Amino acid sequence: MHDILHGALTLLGAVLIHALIGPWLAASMFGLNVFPIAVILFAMVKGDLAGAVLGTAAGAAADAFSLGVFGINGVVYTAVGFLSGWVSRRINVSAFGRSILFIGLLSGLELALRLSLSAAVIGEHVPWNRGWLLLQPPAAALAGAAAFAIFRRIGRAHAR
Amino acid sequence: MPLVRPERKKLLIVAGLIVLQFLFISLQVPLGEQPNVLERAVFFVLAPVGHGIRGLLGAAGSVWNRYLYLRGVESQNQAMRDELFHLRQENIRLRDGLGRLQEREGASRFLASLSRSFRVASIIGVDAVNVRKSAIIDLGRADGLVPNLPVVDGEGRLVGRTIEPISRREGTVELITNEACSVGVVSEKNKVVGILSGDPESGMCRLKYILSTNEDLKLEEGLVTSGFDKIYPPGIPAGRIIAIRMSNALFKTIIVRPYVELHRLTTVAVLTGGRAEER
Repeated sequence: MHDILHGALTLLGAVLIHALIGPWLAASMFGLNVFPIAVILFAMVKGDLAGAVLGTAAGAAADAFSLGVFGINGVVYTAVGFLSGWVSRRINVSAFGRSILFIGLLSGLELALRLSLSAAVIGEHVPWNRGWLLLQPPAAALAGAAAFAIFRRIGRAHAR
Repeated sequence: MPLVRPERKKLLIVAGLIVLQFLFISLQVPLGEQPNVLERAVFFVLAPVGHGIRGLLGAAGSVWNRYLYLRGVESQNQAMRDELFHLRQENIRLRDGLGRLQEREGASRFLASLSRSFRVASIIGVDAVNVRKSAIIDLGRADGLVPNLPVVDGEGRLVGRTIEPISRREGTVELITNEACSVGVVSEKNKVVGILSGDPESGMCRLKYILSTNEDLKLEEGLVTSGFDKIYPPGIPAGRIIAIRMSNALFKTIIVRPYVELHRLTTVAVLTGGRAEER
């Protein structure tokens, strides 16, 4: 029950952040996507199954807020959510440097999967955006690792 | 090593979720860009969240500006009075000029477009995957929003059109930089007719179906809507030609820079064509 509530709050938070930084994203033409970061972070904390379920929900939200085929983001986020939780239970990714690397790799995987699936299903071209697209995984890694470090600090303070 | 029971159960659930998503994809593909029931439902539930947060921020900013941060209000007031004076003068001169040009086609189109009623809307969200494809505005069915209404910016330049999903208080705008967007346009000088379509990869548009033998189009020539598509009224400025490439193909590759600056877009006007009251 707690996990469902936490998942719903995470999704709500992702929608709020998307609404807040959306105009900034449009102004900067910077393709940072909040939803996969939320899924990866949630999976790192709650595990593979919870990550997959949130991935499905976040994918539906991202699909509803974007033009294209409904379900593509869902498949990608479900897979990435599961993989994030599964790997983070087997290796320690809690240190800041490791979490940057981990989130960066998974964000890169998410991007590659999404572009491949979009190309396969609807024949969509890769929106390179003059190379800005390639900065998405490192940016997601920095933002995600910073958020993860803040959550851990808050969690530790709360536990005391 | 065989998988233990809980692991197998997890894998089955995840596989089920992924199969479910593929089912959604296969249901969606025949619909094209038309949203299915589930997409509409998710939009209806989550779009008000973004609307709410933008409203909350707007209210907080308004309280700050109106009641707390009053420094410079007097000088701002004076500057606005001066600006109002200049705008009134400019308006008089423009009316005078338009009156003299009334016979000309361009002026009559402009006047016709002015007479359309409109609703002002704020951008409350951008496309979650590619910001150059769509935007979410704070008008919905309750405000008279229906699909296929033209959307322009504050200076009357083409932004796109309204599309589904549209909820009670939120709507979606397909931007002209979206690949699937098609706008009937005509060149300002030589009246060459073509279809303007978006290219979200570069943020530019492409003018399609101009034969390689056509020599009438020149660089820097402006394009306005033709009205032939029955969606966009004629005369709305759409973009300017920045590159014309020749190839062995039947049609030229023509790149158009849209007039609208999408990265600065915060407020838009939806042309309702008399279907809704002016705000």
